[in-house]
Amino acid sequence: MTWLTPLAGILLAALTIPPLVALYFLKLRRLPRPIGSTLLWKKSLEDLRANAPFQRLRMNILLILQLLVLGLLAFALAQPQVDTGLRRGGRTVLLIDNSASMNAIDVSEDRTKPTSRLELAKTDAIARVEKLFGGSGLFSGSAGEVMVIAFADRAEVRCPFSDSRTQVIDAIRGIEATDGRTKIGEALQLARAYTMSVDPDKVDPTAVEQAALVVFSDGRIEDLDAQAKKTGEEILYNRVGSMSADNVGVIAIAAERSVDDPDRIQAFAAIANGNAAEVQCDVQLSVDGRPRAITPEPVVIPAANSSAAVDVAPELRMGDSRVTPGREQVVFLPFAQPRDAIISVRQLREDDLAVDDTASLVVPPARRLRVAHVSDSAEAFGLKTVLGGMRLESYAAFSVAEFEKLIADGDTERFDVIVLESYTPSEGVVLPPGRYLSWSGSPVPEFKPYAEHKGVYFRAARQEHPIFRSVNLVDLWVGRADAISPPAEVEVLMEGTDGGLMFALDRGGLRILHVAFAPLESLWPMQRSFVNFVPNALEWLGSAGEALALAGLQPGETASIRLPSTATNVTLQFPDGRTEDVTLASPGQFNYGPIRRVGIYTISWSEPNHAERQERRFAANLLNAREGLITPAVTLALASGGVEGTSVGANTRSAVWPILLAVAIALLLLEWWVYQRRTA
Amino acid sequence: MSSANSFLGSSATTFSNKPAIMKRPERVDDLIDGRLMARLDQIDIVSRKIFAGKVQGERRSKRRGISVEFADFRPYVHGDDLRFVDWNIYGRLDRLFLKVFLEEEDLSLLVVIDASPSMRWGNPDKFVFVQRLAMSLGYVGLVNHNRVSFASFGSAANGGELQRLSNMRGRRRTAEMGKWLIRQDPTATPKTDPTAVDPSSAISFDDAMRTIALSRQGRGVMIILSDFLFKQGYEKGLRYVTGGGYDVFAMQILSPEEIDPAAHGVAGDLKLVDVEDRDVNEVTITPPLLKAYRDRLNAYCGTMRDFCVRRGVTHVVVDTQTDIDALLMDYLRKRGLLR
Repeated sequence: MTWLTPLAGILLAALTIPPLVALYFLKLRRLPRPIGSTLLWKKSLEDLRANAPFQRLRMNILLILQLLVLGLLAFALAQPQVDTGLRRGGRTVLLIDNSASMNAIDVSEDRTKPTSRLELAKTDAIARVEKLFGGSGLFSGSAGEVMVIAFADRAEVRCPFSDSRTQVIDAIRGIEATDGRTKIGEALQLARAYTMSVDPDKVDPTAVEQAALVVFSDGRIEDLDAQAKKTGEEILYNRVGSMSADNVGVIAIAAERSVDDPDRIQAFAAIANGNAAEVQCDVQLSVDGRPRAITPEPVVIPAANSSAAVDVAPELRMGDSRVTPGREQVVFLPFAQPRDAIISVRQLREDDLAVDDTASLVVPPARRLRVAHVSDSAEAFGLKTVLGGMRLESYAAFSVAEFEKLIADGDTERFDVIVLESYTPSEGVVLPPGRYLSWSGSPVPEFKPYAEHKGVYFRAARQEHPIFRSVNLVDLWVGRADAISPPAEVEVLMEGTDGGLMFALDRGGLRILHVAFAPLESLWPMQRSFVNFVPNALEWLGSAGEALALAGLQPGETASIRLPSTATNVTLQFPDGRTEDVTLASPGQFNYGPIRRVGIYTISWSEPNHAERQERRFAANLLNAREGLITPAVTLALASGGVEGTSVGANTRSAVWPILLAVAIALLLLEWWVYQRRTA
Repeated sequence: MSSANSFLGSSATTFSNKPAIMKRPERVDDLIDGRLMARLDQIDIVSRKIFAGKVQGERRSKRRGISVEFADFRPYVHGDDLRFVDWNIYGRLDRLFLKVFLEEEDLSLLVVIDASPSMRWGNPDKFVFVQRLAMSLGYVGLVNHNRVSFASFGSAANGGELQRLSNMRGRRRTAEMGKWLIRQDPTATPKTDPTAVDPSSAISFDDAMRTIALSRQGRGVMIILSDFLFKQGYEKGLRYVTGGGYDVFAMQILSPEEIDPAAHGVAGDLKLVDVEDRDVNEVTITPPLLKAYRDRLNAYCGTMRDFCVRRGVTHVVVDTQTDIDALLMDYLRKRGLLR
């Protein structure tokens, strides 16, 4: 049993109980005196006792019973709690967060032996399971069934409902840390699906059996707003983490080769501050692991913003689920790096979460693109002119027939980007994996036109997309465009007054940027924006874009990388040095996912014409401001209302007041019975 | 009178505190002296009701019968006494008529005395006062040729049962009546009296009243002499005898210690022991307790008075310090019991 103020209780008992007992022992020596009848005296004394403010306490069973009732009621009101080994019987689902923020070591008592939040959560979950299966004395009993789900960017059932203590504990111990984001939706769905009763004997076979969902998390969960507590569902939030957790992290990284001088690279980064106070930190740029630059002055990053009331203590303010971290941009001076390189940005301030301190980027070598131009049209001069003006490694023009022969020979890999003009594959021809800039036609079934639009004006474009850099489309007018109804996986990049005009499709090794009209059927070739757009598009599709695309890999995503079709013996080296053989699903197509940890991954393979193994690297970075905000949320802010968190490490207790209340009622009945016997 | 006696205001005695007779009566003379007898010869018991008695007496009865006071005529029916036929009417009308007279009957007087141990308490002793008062009332009844009966309850003597002395008439029964009264012993125990039972087994007030009500032989005046401090209550017992044939007088006899304990040496830390049931009550006599006692006594007597008034019973509270002569010749005449 837990006593909130045991000292006060002892003091009170010491001051009151001995005098009370003494009062009962107190006996006055009285003179016996016979009297005719004590009737009137007895009644007078009763009158006096009823009216007098004070009187001598007498041994009276009614008084004792009433005192007991009052004491029990007062006791019940104080809501004492006993460690009962928690909810007995029934079903319990333990939902353990193993996202990136759970790697924070703010809960460590000793910094030399850091303990992560996940380890603490696992320890607490195991303790909870021990209590569920154990307990002692009055409260011992069977635990019912326990299920374990680990969740980060995706949820995983580590142990279905089981009444085996060993199995459950082993499942909890087996949960590994990830660097993923935190999403609970899938975990809740899984938990609810498993708690769905399928007992055919029940009247309502789909009835959900009540299960307690116990969440071990820091409460920084992305999709909380979309979750609601179901009727009758019990969700307990065990808050993991210290309210004074400290974290500064890199939330964005980018590197760019100059168009004019591709040997030079400029790196950009954004640093976020998840603390309640402004912080300063040095930021270091490394190339292939060697420091190259450091910010000349410490970067000052503003404090995190919270919509919580200003008079709340900073720690509590940080516990608000609506808090947003402060951020600051860092730009490094361009530096010469003609070869490929791993560029890393690291903030040098020591904090509780190491995962987001470094972000890396794989920059491919500074090489120019090899472009093929496929067109049967005599009007292809517009594109030809622009392509001819670009500084390319090679440029080759093909007719459709020649191109399809290349496809048949499997020789399209010679080109980084293939520009297609009004191309629709012939019967039986399928566009091989590769990068394509397509104008009009129907290179893949997704872009098959269903009609034609005439006289279309530009309406909107995804201006933040790299292909629209320095591209002003306001005056664009298209005389004739294909009417395309793209499927969901196609991204619409530009829209005209009658529908989509530019689309992007990324399917396995195939990436196509498709424009729904031929250049000369619009005014675009006459405008300066066209001259900017084509190189942008080629860069994005070609190797220059690849580096940026790979930089965007985050934990939880799948790495999908095109390798030579002759690549064999593919292995993947993880950031921690482990290697794993990978079987390619289709020739030349490397897929691996989901990415669990951040860092540099290396793919290596053998090729028949090369004695040495070939390599390609890609980076996975956290780059998530929300995960970097590691101060635990005070409440689990579900859409249906908040669930107040209990700090992990605190004992889990059950309320005793219902028992006390029941005893008080029983005593009250006894008191009534005694009174009735006396007065009847 | 002190404020303790405020309940006496409307329905009870207001007496002077004369020195009381403490001596327990051993002879009839101790109960009633010649001077008092001479004075009592002049008064009679009065009933507010007209009762049918057993023998012809000095009172007007509701029953029609033999007397000089003509009441009515009625046709003769077979079996009627021919002596009461009015022959003059027969001569005139040739029909037989009977003359009907109001019958004069005697009055039945029943004096019930409480001989429970609680009555043998107080200074003056409540039971001695009751014996003397009963003797005087009985004497008045006897000299006026009323049918006088006595009953006593609450004593452990004679098996603890209701004691009776019935149907006495005439002055010559005075001595017998006095001896019977002297024999009543509230303090009888099996040790002192072989016929006695345990005091707790003695007949209670309720049972005594029920026995009297069930065995009633005629109508009349009933005078109950008791302190009426019954733990089981007086209401049930009085209900047995009200509403029937009796004109009931409830005379509540209280000792000065009961009326004003503070003035009679009740003080300090005491263990009050009930002489009847040995019930112990530990008290510390304080002014608030004395006030509460007075209030309680007033309330008790007031409640009893109200109870009696509603049922046609005359309730009189009498202090044992009261002079019996004054009580009989003055107060009870005013209250209509005597004339």
